[in-house]
Amino acid sequence: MILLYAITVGAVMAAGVYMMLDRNVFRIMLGLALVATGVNLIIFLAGRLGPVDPAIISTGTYALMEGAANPLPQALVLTAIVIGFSLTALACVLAYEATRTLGTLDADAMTAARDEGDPFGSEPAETR
Amino acid sequence: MSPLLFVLIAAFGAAIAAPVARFTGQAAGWLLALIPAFLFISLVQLLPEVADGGVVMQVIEWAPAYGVNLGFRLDGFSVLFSMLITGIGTLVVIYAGTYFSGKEAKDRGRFLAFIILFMTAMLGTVMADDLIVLFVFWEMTSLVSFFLIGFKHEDRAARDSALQSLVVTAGGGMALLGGILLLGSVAGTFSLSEITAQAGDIAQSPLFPAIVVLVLIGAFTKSAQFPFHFWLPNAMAAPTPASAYLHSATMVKLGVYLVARFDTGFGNEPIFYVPLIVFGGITMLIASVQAVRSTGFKAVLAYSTVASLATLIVLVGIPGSDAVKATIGFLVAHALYKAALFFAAGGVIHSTHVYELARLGGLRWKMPMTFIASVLAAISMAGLPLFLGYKAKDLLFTASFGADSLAWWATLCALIMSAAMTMVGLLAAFKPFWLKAPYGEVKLYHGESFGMALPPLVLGALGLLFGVAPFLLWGPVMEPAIAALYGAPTAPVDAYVIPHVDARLLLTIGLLAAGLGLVWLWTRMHRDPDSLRPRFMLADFCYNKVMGGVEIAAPKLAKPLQTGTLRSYIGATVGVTVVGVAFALIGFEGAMIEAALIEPIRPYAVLILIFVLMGVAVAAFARSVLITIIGVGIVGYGMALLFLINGAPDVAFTQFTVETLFLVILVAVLLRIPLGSALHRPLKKRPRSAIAAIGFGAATTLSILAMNALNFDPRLSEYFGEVSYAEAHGRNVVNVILVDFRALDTLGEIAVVAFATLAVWALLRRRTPEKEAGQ
Repeated sequence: MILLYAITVGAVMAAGVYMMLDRNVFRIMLGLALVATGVNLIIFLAGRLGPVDPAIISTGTYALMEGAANPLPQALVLTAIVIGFSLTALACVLAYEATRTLGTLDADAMTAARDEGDPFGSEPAETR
Repeated sequence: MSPLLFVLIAAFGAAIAAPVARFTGQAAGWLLALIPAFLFISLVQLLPEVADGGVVMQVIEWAPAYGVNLGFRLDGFSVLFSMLITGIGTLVVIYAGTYFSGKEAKDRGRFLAFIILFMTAMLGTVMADDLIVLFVFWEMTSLVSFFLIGFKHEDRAARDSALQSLVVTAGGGMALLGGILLLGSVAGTFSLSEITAQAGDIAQSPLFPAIVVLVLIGAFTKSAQFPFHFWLPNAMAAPTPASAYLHSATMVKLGVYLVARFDTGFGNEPIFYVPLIVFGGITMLIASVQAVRSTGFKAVLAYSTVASLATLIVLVGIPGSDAVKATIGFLVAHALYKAALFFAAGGVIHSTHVYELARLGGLRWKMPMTFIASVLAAISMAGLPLFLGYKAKDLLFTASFGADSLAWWATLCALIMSAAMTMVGLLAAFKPFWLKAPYGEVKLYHGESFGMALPPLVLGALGLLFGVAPFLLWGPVMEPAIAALYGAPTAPVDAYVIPHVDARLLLTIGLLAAGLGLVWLWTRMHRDPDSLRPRFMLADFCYNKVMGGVEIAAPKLAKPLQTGTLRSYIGATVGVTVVGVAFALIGFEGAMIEAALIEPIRPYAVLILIFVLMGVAVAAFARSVLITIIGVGIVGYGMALLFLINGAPDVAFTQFTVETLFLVILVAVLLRIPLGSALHRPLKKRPRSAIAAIGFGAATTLSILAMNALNFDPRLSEYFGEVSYAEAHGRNVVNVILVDFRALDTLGEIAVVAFATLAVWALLRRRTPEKEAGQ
């Protein structure tokens, strides 16, 4: 089973990287979102598959029973999901603002910084 | 007084120098000179303790885990060096106070602070027993030297020279650090005395040649030995008090100090001493020729300093006690006469504003005290009888004649060097004062001042005093240093300075004649004004070529790497990751496949995985961005389902919520701009992206399988399962971890969300230019 999960996550990551290598800033951003999703599942898989009961201590007992899922990766993934969401939301808005301000969707055409000049070009005048 | 206290008092002096200079005006030099003078007297009082091989040790634990201690050790050699540092330091501070009397108090304070700070670093270096401590102070002297050479920072040449000296000496310092670390790993200690004690074993180590090369690079850069000799003459851009102190009397002798220290243990290893004799000899020859070619007053002195340092390096290299005696004798004699000559040169330049020795002349009645001081120092330098310099030269020839190997080379170099030194001494003493100025009379801006004439007079007179009354110097100061350096008691030096009528006398007369001949040659060579222009220096030229090459190579390297294109950065990151993962996974295939096939296949899960893969395909290949969004959404919801069927309902619901929110935001944003199928390029046109993506996907898959094959450590999960209810009174373990055990992390997460929200809000509320125009 882990083999199928691993292949699926690999496909998600491959698609994410493929999109991040695009020129359209929105595809880049969506690629980032895909990679973030894939990473969440990797963290989850690190806690191993197997038990499928939620990690809840049932009434009358005082500790987690056999057969309950590993709670630690779940807690980590929860955090990661929310942070990933913040990241992609911010990236989305940045991409939107960049597109609107620069009038292009093409990441290669966003050269405002490069147009400032070559850092190796003319040196500032030497004051003696 | 303990060694550390010396360093601390000196550091205190550096700290108060600037304020004292501001409030006391012209008297600052005299007042601040009390600090080095006090240290000098304390050292004199220490002399009985280090006589007969006595040692003052002080070890304070610093970083015991690394075997590094704040270890100090005072023996005869350290005390001698420290006396030179503080004694000449006293005179330098007095001299500098007067030298800067016409300048602003701010400059004077800055300079005096640097000088005393430098003295601190020097004391630390020569008193250190731990090599790491020694290195720290060693680098400190390089840094202070950088600031002093570049003291006139408005002057481009001074800045360039300062940078050059820093590149050379600090670069050599790096080599030295490498050598020290290797030495420490071989010896198991950084203590110089312990290393000396087990020198025989260390010399057998296969790492020993590397240690020698690295240490010698450190010493040669500091002491301006070939091929690193070029920085010292350029360092003459520093104010003359600094030249006299750092670049003649003390700092440049640190290289000699270091090799002399190592020589105690390793002096009989050919791999150690042959390079010293060979490179020192080459430097002697180069510097002698350059001294004849140079015209600048300080440049001539600087090349003679390079030659003297080279002489000391050769003397350290020659095995045997004669060479050790000559080393100590020459060291002290040189420090006395060369500092005096620099002081005198600085006085002349200060009064006349003329930097070229060839232009000077006829000052003998205008600067009588400086003249007398110069003559005293010059006679000592020329090695004439009655002076300390005579004894030093005598010991030098005894050592070079008696060398077991390379005696002819050492003697030849010593002869040429001595002739050149005689010339420099005579030139410095008589050219500015006695000979006629060739380009018209030299204008005097001010007469000599007491504060600048006294220090050279004192040093010049000491050269004579120690010549005629050798018992003042040799017994109490020199013999302990010789014993400490040789590592065993030696027969006392016959410090008699009246020559017998024998071959030695002939040598003295011959060298004097050669020196006079060179003076005649020099004045003829530099009679023409054309000869005063700067000369071509091969080593300088090479240095500039290398530095220029770095400046040319840097953008050539940076431009292809820093393309400014996001794709190339992502591509490079992905490529490096894939290659790294592939290497890490080599040899792991068997375990991976075995572990991957254990678990049974669950039909539900397979269905969901197929659903996710469909989303992936849609996202990757859709022409329209909107369809891509749908694909990404499918993947997200599929993930949520996977979490749900694997016992993680909390995660699943969060994922559903976030995915929905994300889609809403995306669509809201994207509806504002026309997307269409803009910029879509099909897979066929992007083979490299596809390869990178497939490589990364494969690396991910294999990494997960490898992770799965490793042993699982359930301790942390079990711990949370056991204590969640007992300690935190919560039944939902995931929630308890988030809000209790890892509450601070969750707080951080909330902060991230809050900041992202603020940023999004700030970006979205910006008005568009059109809207502004409309209002």
